[in-house]
Amino acid sequence: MRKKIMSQKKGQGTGAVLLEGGRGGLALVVFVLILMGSPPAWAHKVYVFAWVEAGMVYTESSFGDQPVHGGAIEVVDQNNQLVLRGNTDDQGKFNFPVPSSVTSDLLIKLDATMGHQAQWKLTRSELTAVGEKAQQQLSEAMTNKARLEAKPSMVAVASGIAVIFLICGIVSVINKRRKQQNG
Amino acid sequence: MHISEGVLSGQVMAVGGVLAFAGTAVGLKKIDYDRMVHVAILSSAFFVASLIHVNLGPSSVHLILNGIVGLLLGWAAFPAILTALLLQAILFQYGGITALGVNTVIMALPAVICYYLVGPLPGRSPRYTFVAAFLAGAGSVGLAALGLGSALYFTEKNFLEVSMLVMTANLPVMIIEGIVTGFCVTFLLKVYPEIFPRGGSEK
Repeated sequence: MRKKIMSQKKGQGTGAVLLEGGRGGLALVVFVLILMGSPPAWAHKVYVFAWVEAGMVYTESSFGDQPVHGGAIEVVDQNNQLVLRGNTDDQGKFNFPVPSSVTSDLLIKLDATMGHQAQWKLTRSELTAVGEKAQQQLSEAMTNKARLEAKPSMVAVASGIAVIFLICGIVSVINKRRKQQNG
Repeated sequence: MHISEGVLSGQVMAVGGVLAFAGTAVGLKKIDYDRMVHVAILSSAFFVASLIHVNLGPSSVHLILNGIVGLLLGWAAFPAILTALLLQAILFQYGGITALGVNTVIMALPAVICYYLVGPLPGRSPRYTFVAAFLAGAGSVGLAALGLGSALYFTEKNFLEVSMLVMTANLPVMIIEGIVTGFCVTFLLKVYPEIFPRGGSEK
């Protein structure tokens, strides 16, 4: 049966074969997406986010749709000297008071095992801000947090797929021209 | 399964880059340019599937689909997976750009291995097609986990611990991936058998 189909295809032009390929590939993609079943949760980038509020540093570590449980947190200063370390809780949170002897920015490093790492920098001004400035920086931090937690847009997904097809199309055209030049 | 930025040592990233380059070069040489649309579709499926998570108990997993990409593309899995991973890293910060070579090898090499080990089986005996495809799907994730453990070993020096952790964490993915690959291959053999490279048009 397969041989019969293949012999039928041999007589067709490239366009027809591409069309057939598209049909089969589309079937594959649709099938995979159907198999996913329930509404999917998007994004899997690992990240750690930190902000300062009322003398405390709050951190949240996440894979996007899942908090990082028991992730190792290291806080280092700008000379890479360890300030403190700890682990995230079940909600991916790890909090600590602003160190009294802050003289530089702090880098909060997350190791979520299996090759997943991320870091977040808190500037000295963020750590030492008070009053209205602290409120303003907190507001900015929350905006950044929302941006970090944002799910990938459908536009970005569609753009990625479009780029893949564009690259394959260009490669296909180049190869076709090369074949024509070689007779 | 994607290694983040700044995890690996320079040597490991360099070796990964060289291997990915070599694999991609072989893939581009062996690719059947009349089947570029298949490459595009499967690269897109890989690109999208890795972004879709399925909640599984307290955790959530995502498909990789390197098994089916390998079965259907052979060596062309290298350029297809490289392209998808690059776009994931750029568009979604999923895995690191500097770890792109290692991530490509981790996911594409098992795909090619499964292509050679299991590729000839689907279609020969309908009875075993699902089992063969299941092995390809699950096996490619298992091999990818081993590859991840190997890459981290040269940075962390605890291969067994890391590998066991990765294998355990990815066990549900292996089973789900095996089932998905089994259904996909069985379905495609029925409706579109010529998509398989061993269907006659492979170079």
